[in-house]
Amino acid sequence: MFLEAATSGFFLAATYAIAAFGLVIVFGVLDILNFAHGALLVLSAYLASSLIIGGVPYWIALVGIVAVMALAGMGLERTIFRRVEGEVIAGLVVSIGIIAIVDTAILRFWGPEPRTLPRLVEGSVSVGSATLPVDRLLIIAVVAVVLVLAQVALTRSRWGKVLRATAQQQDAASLQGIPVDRVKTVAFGIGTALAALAGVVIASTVTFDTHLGESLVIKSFIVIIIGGVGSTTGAMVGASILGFAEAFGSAYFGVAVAQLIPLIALAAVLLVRPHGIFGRRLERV
Amino acid sequence: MTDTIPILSVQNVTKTFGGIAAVSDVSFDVQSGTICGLVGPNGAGKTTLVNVLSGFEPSTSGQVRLGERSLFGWSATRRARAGLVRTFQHAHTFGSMRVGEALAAASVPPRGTGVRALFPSRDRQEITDRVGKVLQFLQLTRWEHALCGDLPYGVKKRLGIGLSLVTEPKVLLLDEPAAGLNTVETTGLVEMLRKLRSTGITILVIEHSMPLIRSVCDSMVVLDHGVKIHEGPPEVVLTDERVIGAYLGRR
Amino acid sequence: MGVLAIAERRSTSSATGKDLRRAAPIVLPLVLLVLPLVTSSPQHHSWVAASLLWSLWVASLNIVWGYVGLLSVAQLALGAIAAYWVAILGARTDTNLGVLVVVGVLLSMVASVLLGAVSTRLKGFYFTIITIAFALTVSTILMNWDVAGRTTGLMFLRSEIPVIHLGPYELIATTTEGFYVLTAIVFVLANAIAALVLYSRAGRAMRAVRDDPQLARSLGFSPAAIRTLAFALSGALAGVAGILHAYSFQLVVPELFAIDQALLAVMLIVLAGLGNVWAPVIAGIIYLLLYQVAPIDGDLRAGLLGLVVILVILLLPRGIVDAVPAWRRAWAHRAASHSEEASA
Repeated sequence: MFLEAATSGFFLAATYAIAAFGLVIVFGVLDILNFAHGALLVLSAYLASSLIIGGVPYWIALVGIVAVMALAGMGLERTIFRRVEGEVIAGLVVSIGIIAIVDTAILRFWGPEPRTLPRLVEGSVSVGSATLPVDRLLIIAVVAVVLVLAQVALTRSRWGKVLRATAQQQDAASLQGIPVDRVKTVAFGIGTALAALAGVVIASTVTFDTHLGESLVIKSFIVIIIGGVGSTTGAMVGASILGFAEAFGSAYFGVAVAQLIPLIALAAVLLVRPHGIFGRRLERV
Repeated sequence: MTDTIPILSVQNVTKTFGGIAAVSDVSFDVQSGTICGLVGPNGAGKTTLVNVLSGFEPSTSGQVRLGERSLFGWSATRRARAGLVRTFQHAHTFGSMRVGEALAAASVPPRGTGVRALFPSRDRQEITDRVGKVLQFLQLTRWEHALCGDLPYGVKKRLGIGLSLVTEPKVLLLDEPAAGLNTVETTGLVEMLRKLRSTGITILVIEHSMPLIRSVCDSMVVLDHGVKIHEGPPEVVLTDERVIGAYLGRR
Repeated sequence: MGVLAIAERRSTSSATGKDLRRAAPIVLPLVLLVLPLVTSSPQHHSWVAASLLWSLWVASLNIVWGYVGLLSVAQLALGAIAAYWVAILGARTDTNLGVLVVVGVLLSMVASVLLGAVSTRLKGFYFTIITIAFALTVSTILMNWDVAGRTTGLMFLRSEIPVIHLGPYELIATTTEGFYVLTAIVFVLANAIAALVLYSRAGRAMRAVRDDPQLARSLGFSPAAIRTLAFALSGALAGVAGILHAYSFQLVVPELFAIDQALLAVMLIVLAGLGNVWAPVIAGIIYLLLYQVAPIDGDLRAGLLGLVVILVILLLPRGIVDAVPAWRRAWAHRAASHSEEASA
């Protein structure tokens, strides 16, 4: 049972991490809490479902959707989010509007029934007394690779440095010649692209409907707060904590308890260390 | 003149942040109905001291007394209700309210903000009168219906003083009231301070502007690096070598 | 100068004019009580009743978001507490319904105050996230609790409501018309109470603390006390709304009080005017027009609302959620430019 719970933990951690990563980048660079992150994630899942059922190979669908959503994200930033920059609550409200529109569109095009996709790879692997599904292991591997690459890109590459400079001090960055506006648009695009990636990946592993978006974005918020607002490392650590806590909680104590764990963790963090594990100190109101 | 208890008594106040003492063992008294100037070069600890006196920061050690009462452990709210009110260096306002509304709102607290505040105030007329007087006193009457958030900077600062006045304070701590004001406005400020003194209010002014201090203050306290280096009437203090040295040495 | 022009213009407006403007949001809703005389169609009655429910949710949200300045998605969950309390105890004990309702509303009030207590130490959007977590917690507990009926919920029949005698009239809540009148009466009272509080010194104190807590403290306001009052009032309104909401569906079920419902309230209030005493009434009208009357397909409504909300936020000058309600500033600008034209 332990091994199965552990695998589950890895899988959940991976899912939450990839979902939260994009959110962190957007919040770090643009100061926007994009509640619609989840809706875009689910939209990608639905798009994937249509393409895959239509016969498009999985990996092509993945790349295609990620690209399209990246562009869509950049478009959204340019037209809508640019105007509410810096005002976190206004950004939240606007994203609520976007959720309404996206959810309505999904309902219109795909109907209210939950969707299921055929699994990526059939079969399981036996390790000791445990049976582990291959597709989940594959996804864990893929997501882990993507996250490592993303984190390395963020810390080592030139673009990564540009992003981080803009996130920390916009004015200073602008003085250094960084095209701040373009960086922000790209950052949002990256965020949406990661949401899309998460969506397509998750689509093949669960039965989903629009509620998935809401549930994941809330978990992502919790992950970010636990890990520290604005820190990608924090997001990954937070996702791991949450993922494993939920997996083991569910395995040993039941689903109901597992559902309460994220909330308890959130309460604990807010009481003890509100700025999260890797976050910067907050000002008192 | 017999020994009257000073209305504001600062006794051995120290405030440290981390290991650094922003204010170190500062003591002085302010007599009722006088204007005292608190000066010192940048970083001398003046604003920190005002924050401690008004309750926005707890002192690390030392006491503050308002008349006979020790203010130890009193929150900023409680001190304000007791009559010790401060203004802010950067003009703070209630951005969404009109000037008249804001003044009316500020004249409420001494009479209660709990459940009693829900019921129509029997002294509505009194509030209107008070507001009217303050508007006139600070020449804000023409701005009465303007939105606080839209006011020019100098007017906002005057309003800041107006808001404290409408609470009928005993001791007024003004944090750099002249900062950001032009010459005309500063002259107006000096006039106003003189008129205030004649109403019996005690004022502690933090200022950089020496001419203002000289023209209006009955006494002065000089801080440097968190330590009081001199105290007394302006003519005496301003000619003291240590004081001049402290200001010049900063160049 | 623009600002001065308004000042001059305003000082000539009469005191009676001002009193009329203030009384309007309280008095106008009385019209609702007359509705059954105008139309006897049950559909109309249920349309307006549903709209009034959303007016109540908005009234609750208006105090937390409009007057304390914190966006909350917990209102529906707070209402759920009252509704489930009445449902569970109503089914299991013989306690008088009135008593249950009063206690339920008090529970919502207390929960709201506790939620508010958490808000004092952290930045604005953290509070919003806490309310999200709160709403989720309530949902999760209800969905997994046998006593609460899990995902199926519990019955909450109007037939349980006793006949209410108002003078010579008998109010029977089981009929659509009867339930409408009950909802209307509750709304008129709740709206009046909320408006009166907002007009009072407490309301001004709330706005002062919202605009600048430091300045408020320096003038003797206690932000903690004022926020507690605001949260208590908001919680009570949520409790009332929750109970009626459940009665309108004759069911208590977690979905009724879920976060996506709370998001609807957020969108409605943004359009109705955050921080405006009229917000509940206007929100009700918007809901009525968009969700009940308009011949738009059910699915599309939310999307259309979202679209309008986005447009509104984009078009209004910096900040529908700003300290200065945009409508106020727009009014001031318009008045200023009119005076300038007049004097030119």
